[in-house]
Amino acid sequence: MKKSALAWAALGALWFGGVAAGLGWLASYANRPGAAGRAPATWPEASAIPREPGRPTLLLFVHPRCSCSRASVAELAELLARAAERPATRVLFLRPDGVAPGWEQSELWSDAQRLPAASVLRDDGGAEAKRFGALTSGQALLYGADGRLLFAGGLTASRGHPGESVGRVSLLALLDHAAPPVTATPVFGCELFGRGDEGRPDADRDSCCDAK
Amino acid sequence: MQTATPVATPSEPVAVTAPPPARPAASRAEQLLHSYEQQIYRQTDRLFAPLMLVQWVTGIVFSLCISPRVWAGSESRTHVHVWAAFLLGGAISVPPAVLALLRPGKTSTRHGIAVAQMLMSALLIHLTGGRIETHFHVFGSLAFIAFYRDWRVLIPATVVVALDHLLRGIWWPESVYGVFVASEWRWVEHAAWVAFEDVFLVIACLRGAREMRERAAATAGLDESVDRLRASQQEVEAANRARSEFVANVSHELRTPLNAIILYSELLQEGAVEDGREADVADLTKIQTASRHLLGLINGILDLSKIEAGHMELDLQTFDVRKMVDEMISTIDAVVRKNGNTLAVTLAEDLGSIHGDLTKTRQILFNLLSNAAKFTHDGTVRLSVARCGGASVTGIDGVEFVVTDTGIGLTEEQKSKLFRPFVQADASIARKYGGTGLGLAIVARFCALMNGEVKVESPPEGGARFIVRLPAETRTPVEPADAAAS
Repeated sequence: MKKSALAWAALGALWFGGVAAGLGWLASYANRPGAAGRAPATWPEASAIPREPGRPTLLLFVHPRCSCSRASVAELAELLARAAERPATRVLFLRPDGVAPGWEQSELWSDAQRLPAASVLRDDGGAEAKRFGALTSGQALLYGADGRLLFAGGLTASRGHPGESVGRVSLLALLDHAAPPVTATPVFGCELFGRGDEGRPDADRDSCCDAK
Repeated sequence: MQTATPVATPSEPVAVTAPPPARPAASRAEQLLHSYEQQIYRQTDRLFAPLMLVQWVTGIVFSLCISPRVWAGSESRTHVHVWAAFLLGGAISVPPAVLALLRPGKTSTRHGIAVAQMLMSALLIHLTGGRIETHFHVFGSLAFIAFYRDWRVLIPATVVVALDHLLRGIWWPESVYGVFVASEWRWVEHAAWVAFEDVFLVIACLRGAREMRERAAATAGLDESVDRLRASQQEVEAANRARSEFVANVSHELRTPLNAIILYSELLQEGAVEDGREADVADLTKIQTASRHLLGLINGILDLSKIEAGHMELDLQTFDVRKMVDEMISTIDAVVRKNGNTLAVTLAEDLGSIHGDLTKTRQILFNLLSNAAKFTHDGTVRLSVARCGGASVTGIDGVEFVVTDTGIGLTEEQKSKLFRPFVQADASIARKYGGTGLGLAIVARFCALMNGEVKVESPPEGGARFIVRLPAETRTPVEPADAAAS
């Protein structure tokens, strides 16, 4: 083989290796879950979120500006369409302290409002998110009619990636009164709270959303 | 002013150019095939270069529209996707685009482009959140890669797709297959769908390559035939020139003794007349008549041979047309009247002068008028001369000579071969009217030499009409081959 051919092959391999490494890092970023909080095992009495007697309640905590959560809202729509028993669904949009009025009414808010049988609520200062231990946008919690926690986790398989996921499959099983494959899944999305936010719930792990 | 313009140097030896060696069709076909392939490779490379850059920009636009910023509470910063689209997209797109521009047609270029295209698919799919619609970029890209008509380029592209799914399936099965644990062979299913498309693309590539090979073989065969024809044509032209030269030489050698025969028979005739030997006078007259006929024939052959051998010269001068025609009439009048014909001449007022070969112009008219007289009995031979504007083949103003007779006329078939040497309108004509069949052939060649034209018509009232147009100024002599062809 000629020297020039070897040089080209080496250059090509270097280029391919570099790009492949970049794509690999991007994939690992997309599959790195966000911080998981500790959700209360029973419905907290202090919560102002309305429940419906005799029906399970599904909560989805969303950061209104998080582009990754678009997939979570889409997955929720898919879940509600396919669920055997439709739960009382509440989508809570974070409104941090000190932001302008209407800050939370993003495109994602409009998408959530179009969901069937789902209430869209504003979570001022993230009080409810803190109460339910939600740290990452896309956090879903399913409480049974008796107020016990049945599921905690995300609805997507990776960051901003719609499609079949273990979280969705587990929730569908629970709503069909079947045994779910899992009762907790990772959550992929933006952080609901900044580093300096007061009353930020404790996390089991570091936040997923830091762009390293 | 008289100028002599040689058409070719008479002393120049006849050069017989050796025909170029025929190109072997098989090797020529290989050359052509390589050339076609290179053309397609280069064209496709040039298509991919802008596509790469467009995809890069598209990726950046996607990331800015879909995920511009990442949030933590009320704080935000630029999303990783934006940086990835800009930096990683550039790393994927720019090197192959540069290769396409700097090294088009190279094997490494198209393989690099194929790999880059698949890597770009992976990036775009990621940036759009793994949307199923974006996966069509993979299939569209494979079809585009098949533009190369080189099935080998599909291999690295397919390997990249398969490898991507294999590695993602190992490390992040849920993001690809939606489950925590997937079969280690699940990637094969995805790769199989890509291979499914590959099958058809490979068939298309092979068909395209076969068509190119057939086209190359056909073109090479055609080129070979053209080469052979060209060689044969050169051989024929060389042989024609050699023959014409030979004929010219022989005619010249014949004319010298014939002139001597005519001269001495004239001297003998004068002596016989002075001595009153009537019988000898009659015999010597027959010798002179036969010799002059033979001399005319040889002169005609010599003229034609000179033209065809490229040795005919033009003696260009400016002369008065009316004066030339008047002199011609005094010479030809007796010939025309011999068959009981009448010569009618019409000359326009503004004939003026032309710059051409006086002798050849005179011979053209002599040949046409004597030809008309020969085939007309107790009829009329008309000569009309007028200026013509832009009607000659040169497009220059000139003079038109029209010779009309009331003779036997011509059929279309006869007209088609009238100006060929040694050919008369009909074989029986030679027996009945005599002649050599050279007169009109010489007329046609002289006209062509002087950038003029001659044509024949059949007037409705019968007979024949010959029209000669000569330019007012003959500038350059026509090449011998053109003159002969006309």
